[in-house]
Amino acid sequence: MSLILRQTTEQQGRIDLRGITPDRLADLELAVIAQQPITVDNQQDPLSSHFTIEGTPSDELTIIPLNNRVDGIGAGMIHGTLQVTGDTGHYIGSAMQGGKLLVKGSCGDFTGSALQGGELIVQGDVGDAAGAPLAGGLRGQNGGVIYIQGNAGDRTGECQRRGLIIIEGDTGALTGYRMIAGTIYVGGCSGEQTGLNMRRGTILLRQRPTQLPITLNYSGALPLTIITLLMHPLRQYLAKQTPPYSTSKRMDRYVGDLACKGQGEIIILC
Amino acid sequence: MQINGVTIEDTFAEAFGMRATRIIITALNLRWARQAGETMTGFATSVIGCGVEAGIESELSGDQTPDGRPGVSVLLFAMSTKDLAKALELRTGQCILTCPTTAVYAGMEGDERLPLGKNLRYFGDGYQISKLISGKRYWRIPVMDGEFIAEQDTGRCAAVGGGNFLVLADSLPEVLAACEEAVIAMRKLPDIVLPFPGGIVRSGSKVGSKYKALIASTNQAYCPTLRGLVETQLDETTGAVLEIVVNGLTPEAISKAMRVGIETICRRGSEQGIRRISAGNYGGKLGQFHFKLHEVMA
Repeated sequence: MSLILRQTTEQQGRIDLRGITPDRLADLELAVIAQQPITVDNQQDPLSSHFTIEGTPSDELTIIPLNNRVDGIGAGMIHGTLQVTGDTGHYIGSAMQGGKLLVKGSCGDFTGSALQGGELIVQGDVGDAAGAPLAGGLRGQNGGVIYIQGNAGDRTGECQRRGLIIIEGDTGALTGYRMIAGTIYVGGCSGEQTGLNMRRGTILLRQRPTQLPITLNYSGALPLTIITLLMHPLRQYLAKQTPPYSTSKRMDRYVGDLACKGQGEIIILC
Repeated sequence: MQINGVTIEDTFAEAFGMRATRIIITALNLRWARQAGETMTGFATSVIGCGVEAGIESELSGDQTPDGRPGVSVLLFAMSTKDLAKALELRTGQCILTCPTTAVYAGMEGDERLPLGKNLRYFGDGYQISKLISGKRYWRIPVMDGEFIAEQDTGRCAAVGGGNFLVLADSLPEVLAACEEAVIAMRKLPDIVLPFPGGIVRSGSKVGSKYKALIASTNQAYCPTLRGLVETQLDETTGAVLEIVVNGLTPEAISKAMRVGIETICRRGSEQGIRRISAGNYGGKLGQFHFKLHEVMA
């Protein structure tokens, strides 16, 4: 049986659950877990003052928030499985290193920011800066997978260094902004200035964008063998919605961003 | 031991420990994958003169390859990891990278790795692209037909080289036909290659020579034209001898391949001129693997 944290009192401001991860709670007694400090409305409170604690400590943890003002869930998580039932706040899975984090709802900004490894799945939408760097950081996601079944906001994948971001829905402006490497897949419409200032990396677009940065050059319609390899991890998540492809199919490819002497690529899958 | 009138001699094949690796070559179609594989495994019959022994292990359909295109798997064997790494890099660079539409991938897992695209990437002159996909690193090297994709590295393992058997028959056409059929049967098996031309050797060798510069020379005891001149292993009716050499990833794979090959040849029987099956060895002092024909066929 997993450990379940159920929020009981609704806070005025925000709750920060940083540090409440399955790997840190798995070996603790229930009484000790109850005393774990969390930040509530800018003050330190014990966990038990806002959450009931049920079940047995293990590698599996379930958190049930009352509102979308609970931040930092799964931040820094190293291993184990964390499930969140309901909408959440910002910094979900931020700097996560491993394990699996499943959100059955929507998330706020900076979801999976500076994610290092593991798997972050959001069944709803996410706010801005998913997979982006933490404040002051130079690198965003550096490994692992962020899978968003809904839509994503602006600056998704900003400064992504490694790993895979899958967005089934639409993205806001500046998707892949200052991207360093890695792969982003957008199933819906991508917003303005997708790929702006990208250095390297691959952005796969299921739908043709209305506008790309002027500093990305058209490279031609080419059959690309690498697409088949890129589809392997995508197929794990998208299942039946994987875009049709073949190694002989020609796909429009844009390269750049020349404004920063980049060698990244945007590939239009349709 | 007799099978269908063919004598299986009570002797053994002497084989050696080697290092091996497997790679997968894909291409737009099987023709070009096979072309790359054949080019890469050309001049790779014996470590004595080629530094590496290699062959195409099998043809692969699209659902057996990483990129969904048809391909071939190739096994390479060498006496040391250093020799193997050098041969792999040179041959990949000169024979696969240059071949239209090809890509090359690791065909073997494991912690012990050999560079594959790791150094070849520099051919891209800075325009190469790295992609880390599901924990594996691939290099995309721009070439004139698009991109050459090479996985970062491939695994290596301990292996066995030099499993063999000799086929003695009344005439050359009879022994050649029998060996051709055996090669077809053996090449259906996994984890082995037959590195010699068409899988068959006519120049069986012994260790040493009267000439100091040579470490191996013709095995005169099995040469029909020397009968009457030297101490021979051939009776008066034997018109020709051919050898099949097999390298494998495990002793079991070699043993199975030898069995399949000998069985195939023996099915022709003495009625089609096949007289004896023997094996090449050095008295058992050089190689640590001994494949006794009677045990192989038991």
